[in-house]
Amino acid sequence: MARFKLLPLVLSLLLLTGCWDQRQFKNVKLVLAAGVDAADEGKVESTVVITNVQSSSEGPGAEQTQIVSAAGHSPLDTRTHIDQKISKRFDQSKLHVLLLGEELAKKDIYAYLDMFYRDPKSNLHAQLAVVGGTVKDALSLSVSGEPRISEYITGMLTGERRSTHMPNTNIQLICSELLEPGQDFVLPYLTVNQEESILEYRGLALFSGQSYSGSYLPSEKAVLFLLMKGIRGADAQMTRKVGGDDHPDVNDFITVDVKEIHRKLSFDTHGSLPKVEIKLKMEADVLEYPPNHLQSAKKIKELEKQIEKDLTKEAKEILGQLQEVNSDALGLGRRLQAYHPKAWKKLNWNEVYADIEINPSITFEIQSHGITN
Amino acid sequence: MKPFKSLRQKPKEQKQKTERNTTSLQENITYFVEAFHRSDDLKLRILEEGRAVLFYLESLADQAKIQNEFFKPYMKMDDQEVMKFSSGKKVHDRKEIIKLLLKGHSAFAIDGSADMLLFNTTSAFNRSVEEPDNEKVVRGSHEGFIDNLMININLIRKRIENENLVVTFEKLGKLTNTKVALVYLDGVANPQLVDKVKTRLKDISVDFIISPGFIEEFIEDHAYSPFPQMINTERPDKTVANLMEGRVAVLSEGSSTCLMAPATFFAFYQSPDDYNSRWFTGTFIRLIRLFSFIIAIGLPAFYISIVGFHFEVIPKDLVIPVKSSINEIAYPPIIEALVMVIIIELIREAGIRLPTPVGQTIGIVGGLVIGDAIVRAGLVSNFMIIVVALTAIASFVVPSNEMSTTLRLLTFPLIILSATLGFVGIVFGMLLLLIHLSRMESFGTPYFAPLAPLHVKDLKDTFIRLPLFKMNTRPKNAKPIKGKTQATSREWRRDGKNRK
Repeated sequence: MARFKLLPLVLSLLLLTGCWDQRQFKNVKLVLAAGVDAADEGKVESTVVITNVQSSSEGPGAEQTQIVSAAGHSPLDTRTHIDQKISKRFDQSKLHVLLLGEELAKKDIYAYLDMFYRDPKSNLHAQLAVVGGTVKDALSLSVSGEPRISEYITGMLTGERRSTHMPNTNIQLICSELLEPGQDFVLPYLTVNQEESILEYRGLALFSGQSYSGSYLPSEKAVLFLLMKGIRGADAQMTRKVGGDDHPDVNDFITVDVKEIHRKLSFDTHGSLPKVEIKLKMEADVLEYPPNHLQSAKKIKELEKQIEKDLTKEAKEILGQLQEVNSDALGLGRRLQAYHPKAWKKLNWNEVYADIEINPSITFEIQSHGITN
Repeated sequence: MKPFKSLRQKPKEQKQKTERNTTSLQENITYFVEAFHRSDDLKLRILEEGRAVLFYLESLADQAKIQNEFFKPYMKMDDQEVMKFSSGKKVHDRKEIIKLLLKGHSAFAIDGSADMLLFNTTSAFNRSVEEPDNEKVVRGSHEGFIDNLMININLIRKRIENENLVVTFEKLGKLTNTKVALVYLDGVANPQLVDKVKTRLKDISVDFIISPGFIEEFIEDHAYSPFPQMINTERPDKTVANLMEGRVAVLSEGSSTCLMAPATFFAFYQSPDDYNSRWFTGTFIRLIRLFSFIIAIGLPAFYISIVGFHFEVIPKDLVIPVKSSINEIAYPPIIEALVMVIIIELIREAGIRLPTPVGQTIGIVGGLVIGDAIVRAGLVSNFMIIVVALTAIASFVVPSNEMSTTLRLLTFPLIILSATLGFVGIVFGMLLLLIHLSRMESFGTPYFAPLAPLHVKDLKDTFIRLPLFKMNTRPKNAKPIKGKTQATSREWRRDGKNRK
């Protein structure tokens, strides 16, 4: 019968392919955290953290970390050099964190991310962060109580994201913002504290085009910046000084959690340069206010006014800083392009962005003040 | 003489050549003794000083019955009356007499008469009607078929008191002459289907038929398919339910299994329990079973693909545990999987043959000791044990034993495909499987119905089980000629007023 003659053919087709394209999970060196630094002569230096686990019949075995760096002309070139220093080959497809050295980030970072966008196996959900100092130092830290540096950094970034100190960023999410005009992005900025052997979250590194502008938004201002961008994590907590004199004590401060935001961006395109108005309405809960006279509507109005004033001032500072480093992290350009295409075509957004007028106006409303009055 | 003779005779069958008895007792008896090759269990009892003989196969006849049927009335009669026994049947055809003797009848022969009197003295050893071991249900009927054809048909007739229930007998097996019964409900079952099954049954020309398994292979459409194409059951209630859907049942003497045609893939996932429990529960369990199909054939292949090709899909928090588990395993995952699957099959096969207490010991030794030791020895990883054990459990969830073994067999090609081509291999394998399922037919019914071709109405009893009062039409699978199953039920209202 003809079909039985075909059977060995089909079987051999399947069986003789062998295992040449297998990637055995047990044979790879797992890299969960990696980073790139700028090196001399235009080279780059990659550092990878290889997590080796021992086999165990009961639960996960003991882990050992191996940190390897190598310099090369490109990220993939360094990869070859790293492979020459380790047993087997390393694999980045489960990468959790990718760190960019400050010096390197000031150049065009797309060049260092290109390999991730091309390879279908790469983890585009890996978190990105800029490190003040070198990545090598950051990844070499041994943080007590945190056996895996990748878990430490992702945990830290997740925490900051939940408390509205940074937006959700990963290799995938910044892709369009890297390539499109009219929108820039921010990345978390970390510094190494060698004395305490920890990393510290500093704020948001402001990018202009495809490179780091060299200035970052401190984490105190990050909350308001993100609220202006329309992003809110699990909670958005702000502590502001209300009242008191030049010698502030704990009673002069109020801590609020912004529960809801209503943002409105409007453009006035009548002049030669567009004017932007950002209207932001916030509704918040009071979390902490020791003087406590919150049963009176008058007192609440007073507090609201004061906070509004304070926040508006701060918003202006933030926008000033953004314009100074020419980083359109709020995406105003894209908004203009979408709603006022005629105005957009007339402008060279990159050049005029620094000069346009942006007016923030913030309304603040206290909604509740906890279970005490 | 016999007014119903024409009804009882099958017109199509050619009459066998008859061989008449002679009037000489000596000649007749010699003939039969020789016909049975002087078999020692052919017992001759000489009566009336050699003028009459009662003979029977000792191994088939019941002594007590002979006493009751023959000797008790015989003692009261004189010679002349003997041939007028009302309970006896007069036969002169030697072939016929041999046939009856083989059924356990006793023959009474008297010198000077070509006729012999035959008494039904068949001894019957039946096991009691018990719940079948491999098709237990929690609620509902606990009766099961036994190895006696008549009692099995009795169990069906008891459940369908309807004159439209038709039973026809066929003799199959040229040497064994096994009695096979074809049962269907006239007016519901499609006549074409009945004809088809009859024709195929008649076309069997083989020396012996031992069980319905033999019949199935001779009459199913696709003998080279791994999938069973007739429903096997030992449950009368399941048989009745299928008869009511317009299927045809085939039972055979000496076997407690009933075969039903046509079968669809989803019929193997139905169990009487679905209908005995509330319909929510029934639906939930049905879904679990169908889900188990995916697990049973696909889980090892999926796992092998992941650790052999696509480990980037492992969730972030599972990466280290998986890595730790498989890091120092000596063999590639395909060998691991094959070793484990074969070990499980070995344990299962060993467990079937052994008596229950020993079987349990094997289960414990095999499951716990080997399972634990094999992980410690580093031959198989923890995760592979979980995967293969889950697969084995999932394959046993299917109510039908045939489908369950098919599923376990289908695991192997998918394991090989996934180890050579990864997810692509699984997709190829599943595609071929789906193509095969969709193009198969069982007695003219599409095997993968109601999915391919799609009958939306019939999905009511496939993935889900709707309440019984919603099932107003019979499933189209068996192409029944009567569609409606009920007029509208539940016409009352809770407040007691009638809806009409």
